[in-house]
Amino acid sequence: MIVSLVRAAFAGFGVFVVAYTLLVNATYLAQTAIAFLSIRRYLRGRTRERIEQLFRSRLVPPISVILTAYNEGPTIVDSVRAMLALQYSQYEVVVVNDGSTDDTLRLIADAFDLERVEKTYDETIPTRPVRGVYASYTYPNLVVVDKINGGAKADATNAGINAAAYPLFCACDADSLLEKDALLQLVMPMIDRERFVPASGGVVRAANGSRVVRGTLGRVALGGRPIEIFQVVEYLRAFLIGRTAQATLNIMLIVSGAFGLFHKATVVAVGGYNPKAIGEDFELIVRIAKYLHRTKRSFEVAFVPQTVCWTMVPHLWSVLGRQRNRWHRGLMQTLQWHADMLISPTYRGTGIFGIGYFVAVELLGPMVELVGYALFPIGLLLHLVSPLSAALFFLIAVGMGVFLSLCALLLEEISFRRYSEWGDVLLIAAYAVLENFGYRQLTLWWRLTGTIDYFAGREKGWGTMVRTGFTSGGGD
Amino acid sequence: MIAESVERGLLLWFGAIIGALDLFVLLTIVIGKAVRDLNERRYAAARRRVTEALLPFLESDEPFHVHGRVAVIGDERYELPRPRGLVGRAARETIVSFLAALRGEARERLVTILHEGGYVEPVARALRSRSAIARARAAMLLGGMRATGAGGALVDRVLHDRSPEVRAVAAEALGALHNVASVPILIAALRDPARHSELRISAVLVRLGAAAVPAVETVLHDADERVVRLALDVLLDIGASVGASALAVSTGHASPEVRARAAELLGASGDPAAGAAALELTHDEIWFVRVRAAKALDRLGVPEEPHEREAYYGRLERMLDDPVWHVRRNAAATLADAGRRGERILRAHGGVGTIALQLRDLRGGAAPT
Repeated sequence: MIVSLVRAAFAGFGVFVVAYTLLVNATYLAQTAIAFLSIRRYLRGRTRERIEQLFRSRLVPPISVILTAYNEGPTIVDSVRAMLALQYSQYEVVVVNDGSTDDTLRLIADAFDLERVEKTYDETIPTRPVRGVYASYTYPNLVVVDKINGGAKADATNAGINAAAYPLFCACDADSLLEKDALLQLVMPMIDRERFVPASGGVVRAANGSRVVRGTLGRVALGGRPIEIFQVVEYLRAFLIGRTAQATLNIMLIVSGAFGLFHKATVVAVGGYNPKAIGEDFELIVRIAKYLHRTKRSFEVAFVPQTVCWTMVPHLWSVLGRQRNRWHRGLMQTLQWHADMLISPTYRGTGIFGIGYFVAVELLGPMVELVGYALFPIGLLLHLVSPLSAALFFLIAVGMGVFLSLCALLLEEISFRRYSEWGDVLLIAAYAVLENFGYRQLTLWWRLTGTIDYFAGREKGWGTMVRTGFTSGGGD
Repeated sequence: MIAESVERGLLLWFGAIIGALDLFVLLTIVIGKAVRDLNERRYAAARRRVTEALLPFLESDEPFHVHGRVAVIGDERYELPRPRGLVGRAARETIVSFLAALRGEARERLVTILHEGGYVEPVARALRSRSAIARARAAMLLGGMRATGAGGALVDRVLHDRSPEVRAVAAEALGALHNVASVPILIAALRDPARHSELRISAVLVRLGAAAVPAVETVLHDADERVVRLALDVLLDIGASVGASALAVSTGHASPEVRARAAELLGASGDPAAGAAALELTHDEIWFVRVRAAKALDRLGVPEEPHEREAYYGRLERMLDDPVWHVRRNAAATLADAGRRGERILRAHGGVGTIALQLRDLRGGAAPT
């Protein structure tokens, strides 16, 4: 009796896994096809002249670039210098020193001739107290806000929004580098599109291994550690396929916290970033989407695949584990806070397809895969699973994963071609295969621990970060 | 047993298909990269060769002639590559990049080489490409080549292309042909729905200068406020002198943006007859129109007719009590430049009047005797 029940449960789970795998892979394939079409259309409509024209034009709205920094000593001066060298007709750089305990503030003050000023600071969005505002003698478009640590990047970014003078703001991490024309590229959807664009995001890529000189990215190359190349593959897949397809379908709900352009009044209207949110960037976009749907405004969150923000990705397994744990807890928290969007017709496609995608694929996917791995040996022991069929099924899943990663690499090769060296391209292709044997399972484990930590209410911070600067490669 | 073998068979099939797909994508990446790298090298080499071959055609004063793709200057003879393919594109783009930096005889030689060598026709055909990038590039090249024969095709792109970028680039190319007949087309293109296109088209009209003025003036009567504003901006940027009669519609326009620009143009016209219209605009309900009108009165100077002069001083004196500071400030500045009577009015008024006189003295101006 018990054996037949177990057998039936196994058979039922097997059917569910097959159906689920088919559904998820169909979703990925559809995303890939949409991404190819969308990037092809984007490339056809893009001309260099248009960007240069915009640069010269007074038409582009001014932008405040907000850089939040907490103990960013090794990278901060290069980052600020890079931000001050962007191609844009009118912009300011607002650096928020979020109570750093290292010499971040002193380094910026020395490098950019800072002087404390009595600048008006409107606390439109409540934040932890601001200790002082600094201006630069040599760079009139540089403002530094020094505040007490708020325990969250959200609080620091909110302080930056309060200090920002312009109608659009670009939120960046201090360990990120923007390409020279990044702001121009990012602002284009806000000028061009018929629908209101409250936020516009670009691609985030791993800068580990690339050469950075005085805040400017020189030769693009891969990092030397496997952990860094695995992340290159992940980022290519997530941005060039996932985000591109979601933006095309107008269901994109993430603009990376490391790099995004926002309509300030809309962000202020929804109360700014939520310091209690674990994944504050995701949560903000969901809240903006909710607000705009409720106020019946036609909008789209834009994605510009050509715009790149280079960031130092974790080069230590422990740091990467904490990052993924945090991302997953952020996902769960936001989905829980805004679960009503999934069923309410008010939120249309954003709710059903946007939130639905995160629930069905990002949240449920790791669970199903891990349960599958856990049950496999039991099934073998009880002779409920044929080893050959299971192995074939696993290889098919691997083959699909490789296919999606290679498609992302192909997209990169036919479009933006940031990796010019043969060795780099072949290495990415090799890691697209290798990631399925160990790395993928490790990320699942981190997600599982993230789920457990979330339900257990355990708060895990970033832990101790190791900053090594751009030129030497490696960070978190 | 049968079900299990069917299941395995299906899985094998799936596996084989996915494996084949993986291999296909990988090969596409490798072959694609190899081809692109090779093409990049060929392109760079072709550009180098063309550059070296064309240098004598830029520097030499020897007799020059072209027969088809063969260009001869003195003893130097160069056969251009066929205008098709990668090498042809490299040759064309090299020559066009030279054109942007050249003037005079050297430029004319290169234009002749392009035309005789059959390089214009393939580019003109690219105007009908499905790719917006290809169309925009073709339009730009035709402008750079001064391909007057492609004027009609460019007009078609300006008016009917679905890409705002192509429309703008085609308008710029049309402007580069320096053909006055294209002005009405460019004016029609000012109605372009894309904001950045209309600005670029305005810039083309500005570059055409005085030749564009009569046609642009006719637009001042247009019902579309946006087009009237653009036309006024074009006239201002050209520095055109537009008579008060031509501006009459604009000074009474419902849009304050139009009235403000009209006031500015009245000042720029230097036409004494414009004084009355400018004076009328000082009563405008919108403050920035009144500011522009005060500035216009400054540029036009004090009228000679006694009754007009009375109205001029009287109105400017009343503007010193305008509720808006910018208006008071500009009226005072105008009075500071309006002779001894203006100076007396300002001294009697005090406040902003005194400041205006001090500012005038600081910049070295003084009331005429």
